Amino acid sequence: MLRFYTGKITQYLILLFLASTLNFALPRLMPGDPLLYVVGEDVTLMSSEEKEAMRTKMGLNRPLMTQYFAYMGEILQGDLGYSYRENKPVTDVIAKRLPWTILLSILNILISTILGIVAGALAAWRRGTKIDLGLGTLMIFLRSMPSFWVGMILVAIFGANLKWLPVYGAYSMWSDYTGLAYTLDILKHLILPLTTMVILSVTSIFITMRYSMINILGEDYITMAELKGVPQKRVKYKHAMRNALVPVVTVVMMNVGYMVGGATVVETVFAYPGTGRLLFEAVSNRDYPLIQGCFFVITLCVIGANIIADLMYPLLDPKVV
Amino acid sequence: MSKKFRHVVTLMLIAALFGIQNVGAAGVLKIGLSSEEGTLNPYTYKTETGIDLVRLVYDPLFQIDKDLVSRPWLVKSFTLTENNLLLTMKLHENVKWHDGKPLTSADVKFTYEYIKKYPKSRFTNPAKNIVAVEAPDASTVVMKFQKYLPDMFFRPLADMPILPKHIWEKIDNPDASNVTVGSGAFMLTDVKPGEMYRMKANKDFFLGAPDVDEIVIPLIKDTTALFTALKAGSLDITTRNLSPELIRDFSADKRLKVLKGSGFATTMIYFNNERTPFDKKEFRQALAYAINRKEIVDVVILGIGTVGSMGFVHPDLGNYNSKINQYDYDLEKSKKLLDGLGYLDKNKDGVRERETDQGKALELKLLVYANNPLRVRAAELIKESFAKIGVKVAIIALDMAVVDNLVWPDFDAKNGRDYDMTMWGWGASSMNAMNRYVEMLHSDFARGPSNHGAYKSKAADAILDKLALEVDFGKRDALVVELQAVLAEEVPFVTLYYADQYFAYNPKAKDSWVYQKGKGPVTVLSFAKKF
Repeated sequence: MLRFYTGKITQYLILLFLASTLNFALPRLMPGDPLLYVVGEDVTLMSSEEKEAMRTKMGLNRPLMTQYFAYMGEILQGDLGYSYRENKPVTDVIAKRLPWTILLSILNILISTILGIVAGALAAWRRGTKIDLGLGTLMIFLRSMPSFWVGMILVAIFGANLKWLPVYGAYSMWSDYTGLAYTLDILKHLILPLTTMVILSVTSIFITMRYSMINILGEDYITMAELKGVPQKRVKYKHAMRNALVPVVTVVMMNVGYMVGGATVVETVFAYPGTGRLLFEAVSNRDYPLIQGCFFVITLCVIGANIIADLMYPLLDPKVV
Repeated sequence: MSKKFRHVVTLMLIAALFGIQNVGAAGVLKIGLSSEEGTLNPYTYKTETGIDLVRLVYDPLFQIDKDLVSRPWLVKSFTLTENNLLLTMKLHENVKWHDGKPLTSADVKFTYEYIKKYPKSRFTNPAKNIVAVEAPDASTVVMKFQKYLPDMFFRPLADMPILPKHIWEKIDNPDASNVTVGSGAFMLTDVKPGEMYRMKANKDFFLGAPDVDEIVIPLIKDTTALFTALKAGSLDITTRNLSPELIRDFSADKRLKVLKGSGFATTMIYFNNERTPFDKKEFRQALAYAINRKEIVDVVILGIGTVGSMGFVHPDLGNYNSKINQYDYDLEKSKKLLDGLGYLDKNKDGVRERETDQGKALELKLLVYANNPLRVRAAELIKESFAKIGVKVAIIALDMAVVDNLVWPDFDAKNGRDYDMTMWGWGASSMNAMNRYVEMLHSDFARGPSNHGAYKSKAADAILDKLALEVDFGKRDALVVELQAVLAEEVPFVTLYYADQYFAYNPKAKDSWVYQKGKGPVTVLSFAKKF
C-alpha cells in the first residue's frame, strides 16, 4: 500500500516538473512581442533603445536558461512572479479571480452531475422507450452545440429580448449592494453562464451514466435481485445505480480538474471575471508570468483531482491496488 | 431532489429574476469598453481609446476640440513671443486636484520635467523641443522652445495630461503606478484592470460639473457580447463603433439613438515597394487600376463609408486634393501597363509571366490579420479582381502579431520586412498629422520608422522635409495637397476606404454627446459644458 502511494507521488512530482517546464516554454514559443501589450499602441513611437531598456526592465533580455532557472526557483518558493499587465503579483491577480470561477464551476459540477445521473439512470431504466429516445436525442442535440453559441443564444433571448437577466459580469458594477441584495445580484448574474455550462457538462455525465447503468442492468446479480422479489425501487437505486456510478466519478473528477481553465469560453462570452477569462486575457496580452501562473494553477488542479480520484478508486474497488 | 430543496431553488430563481430591477441606478452612465487599458493613468493606458478615458480624469494644457483644432483648456490665455519661441500661459485659477489641493504652475513645470526623466515616447518625444519650463507665479507658466513647431499645440501641449506634483514626485516607476488622482471631470474610484473602471463626477470640475453622476466602464472584449449588452440595455454607449451589419437594427430600435460621423481610420493595401515587381511604379499603378474600391465599400462595409482617396487624405478634410488621379476601376488600363512591363500570359494559363523570370508565373502573397473578417473579405475581393488581369494572389491569414512581425518587425522600418502585399490600416490619429506623414512616408527610416512599405521617393521626401519645418498652416495645407499628387502618381499603397462610424447610445442615460471628428463621442468633450 505504502509503495503504491510513494510510486504515485513520484509520478506526480515528475509530472509537475514537466508541466512547469512546458508552462515556461509554451508562451515563449508563441509569436508576438510582449512589449506591444505592455506598452500598448505607443510601442510604434518608441526608439530601439527605449524598447531595449523596457525589455531589460521586464527581465526579457536575459538568456532563456537564466529566465527558466529563475522561474523554477520562484515556483519552488511559491512565488508565481509579477504580471506585466496588472503590475501586481500573479498570485494576487489569480486569487482575486479564483472565487468567481470556483463558484461557477462547483455549482456547475453539482447541478450537471445530479441532472446527468438522474437522467442517465432514468434513460437506462426505461431503455428503448420514448423517454430514453427523447432524452438521448436532447442530449446529443445539446452536445453538438458549441459553448459560445449556446451562450450567445441565451444572451439574445433572456438578455436582449426579454431583458430578464444581465448579460455580462458577475455582479452589477454600478451598485453598492450588500447582504441579501448582493447575494441575489450575484445569483442573477450567475444564471446564464451557469446554464450554459450545465448544458455543456450534463451530456457527458448522462452518456456515461446511461451506458454504465445499461451494462449493470444486464448483470446476473440484478436479475437475481429481481427474481428474489426485491422491490423495483430498491433494485434501481441500491443495486444498480450505486455500482453504475464508478465510471461517472472519473468523468466528474475530470471536470473538477478542468475547473480553473475550463470555463474560458463561457467566461469570455459573459465577461465573467473568472480565471478562465484571465487566462484568455493573459494569452492575448502575452503576459508571460500570468500565463505561466494560470497554467500552473490549472496543472495543480488537474493533478489534485487525479490524486483524489486515485485515492478514491481503492475505496470503491479494492482490485485497484 | 427533496420537495423542500426544490422549493428553495424555485424561490431563489424567482427572487433572482425579479428581486432586483435590471436597470442601473439613476445618474449612472455605463460605457462598454472593448480594449484593455491597464491601470488607466498617463503611463499605463494602452490604446487611443485608453487615452480618451485618461482625459476624463486628467487635464492637459490644451485640448483638441470636435473640429480637431487645438484650444486652451487648463490654460486661460497665452502669448507667443520672441519669434514664437517663448510661450507664456495663464492657467485657470480655480482648478483643484481630486484630493482638494490646488493645481498650480508648479504641477505643470513638474509634469514636463517628469516626462523627460521617465520617458513615455508619445509624450516625451515631442517634449524634447521644450528647453525650459518656468513657473514665475502660481498661475503662470513660461515655456521656452528650441524651435517653433505648430505641432506643439497638439503634441505635447494638448496631449500630455498634467500630473499632481505632490503625488507623482514620490513615484519612480511610473509604468507600475496605480495612482488615480487627477483634476479632470471624473474621479477614478475603482480600477480593476481586465474587468472594469468606475468613476464619480467631479462636482468641482473647473469647466462645470458633468451631467452624469457616475460612469461605470466594464471591459467586454468580445464585440458580439459588447453590442448585445448595448441592445439589452445593460450598456448606454460603447467606445467602439457599431459593426456595419448592426447599424440598421440599432437605428430601428426606439430606445436607442444613433450618432453618425466620418471615420478617419483607414483600410489599405500596402505594397512592399523594395521587392520586385512592386519596385516599378507602373506595376503598382496597374494593381491600383484593378482594385474596385467602390465595390469593396459596398460589399465589405455595406456602403457605410467613403471610398479611399489615392492621396490617403480623407475628402472631408480642408487640405484634400480633389484633382489627383483616382485610378477608377479600369481593367484595360491595368492590363496595358502590365503588358508594357513585359508581363504576358504566353502559356495561356490565365496567369501572366515574364521571360526574364524564366517564365515564372506572377503570383503574389497577400497578408491579412486572421481575426479581422472585414479585411479578409476585402482581400478576397482584391484577389478576384487581380485574377482578371492575370495576377494570381495567395491570401495568407495569420495571427496579428505574426503579420506585424513580417511587415514591420519591432515596429521600426529600419529592421526590414518580408512580404509582398499586406492588408493594413492606420488609426484615426494618423490622418492630418504632419509628423505622422513624415513617419509614414519618409525614405530615411530614422525619420520614417513607420514607412514599412519601404517607399522611396525624392519628390515625397522633398515635400516631407518642408512639411516638418513649415510653421504656417496655410503653407502646410498646400504642401499636403502637393504630397497627395505625388502619392497618387507613385502609388506606394492604395487606401481602400474610410469606414463611417456609427455609435448607438441610450438617451435616457445621457443625451448630449459631442462627436469628435474622425473619433467619436466618448471623449471628455462630451462632459465639458463650458469648453
